[in-house]
Amino acid sequence: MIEDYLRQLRRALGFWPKARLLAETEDHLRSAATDVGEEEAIRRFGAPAEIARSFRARLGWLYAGVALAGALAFPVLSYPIVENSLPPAPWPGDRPPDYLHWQQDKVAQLFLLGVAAGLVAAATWRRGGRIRMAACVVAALALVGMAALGAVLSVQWADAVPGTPAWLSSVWLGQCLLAVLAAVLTGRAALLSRA
Amino acid sequence: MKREAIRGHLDLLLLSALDLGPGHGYALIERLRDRSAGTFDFPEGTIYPALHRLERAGLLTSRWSTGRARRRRVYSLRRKGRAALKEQLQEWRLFARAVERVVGNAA
Repeated sequence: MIEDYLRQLRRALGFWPKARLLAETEDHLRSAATDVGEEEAIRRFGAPAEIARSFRARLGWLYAGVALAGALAFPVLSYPIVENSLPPAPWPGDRPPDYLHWQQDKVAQLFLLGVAAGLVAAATWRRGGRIRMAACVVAALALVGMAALGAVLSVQWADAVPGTPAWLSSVWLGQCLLAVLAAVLTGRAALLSRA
Repeated sequence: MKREAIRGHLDLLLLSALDLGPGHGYALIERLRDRSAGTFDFPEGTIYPALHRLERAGLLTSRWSTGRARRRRVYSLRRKGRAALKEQLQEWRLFARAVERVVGNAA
């Protein structure tokens, strides 16, 4: 019975590194079984799904953290490519028309908000808790906003600047996908934590 | 006692149990059961996520014990854990006194 329970727990844990937990569980169950029997020991220990749930919550935050880090790093890594691929702008000076300029500002502000929230999340990562959750949610929302506005900006910029390569829009598509992935994984981690 | 009521205090309970000395998971469950006269009834396996979390927070340390037929992880309280225990005990006693004052005369 204990072997069967350990198999179920192994399956419930999924990709979570499980060697230590399984060893501790086996020791616990075998110790308890000498006092109350295997069946009662397993009943007292709890259902595998319940035990695995809190470990899955932690794994969920790991996935969310990696996705957020990727979505924050992408604009930094792709910026040189975009900057060096854009043709010269038709307007005089460095300042684009107002309808493009305010969007640039907002994209930059949302990115900085995402970075600030990401740093708070990183600083509180080990402690976990509501601050980390709130920071991850703010970072994810900022990234989604930035990606959405950036996508609109890229289309309008391409219209305003003749010769803009069509493939540049795929850069913002990539940013959008990463931002949505980060937001989904963050939401999932938050739900798993509250379960 | 309802599981939800215990969940919020599990850290305090585990730190208190380890204050008596190092122990493995089942030994800690036995201590909690004995000291609470059987009041606490929750899935025993749920202490392991809590123990791992307290260890990551630097409040506990653990090691595999040697010389046994199977592996056993033994936990012990660190100095930071004792300080956290003291702080949480103070908070708990303040809370318990306040609740008692509010409900003391209730039917």
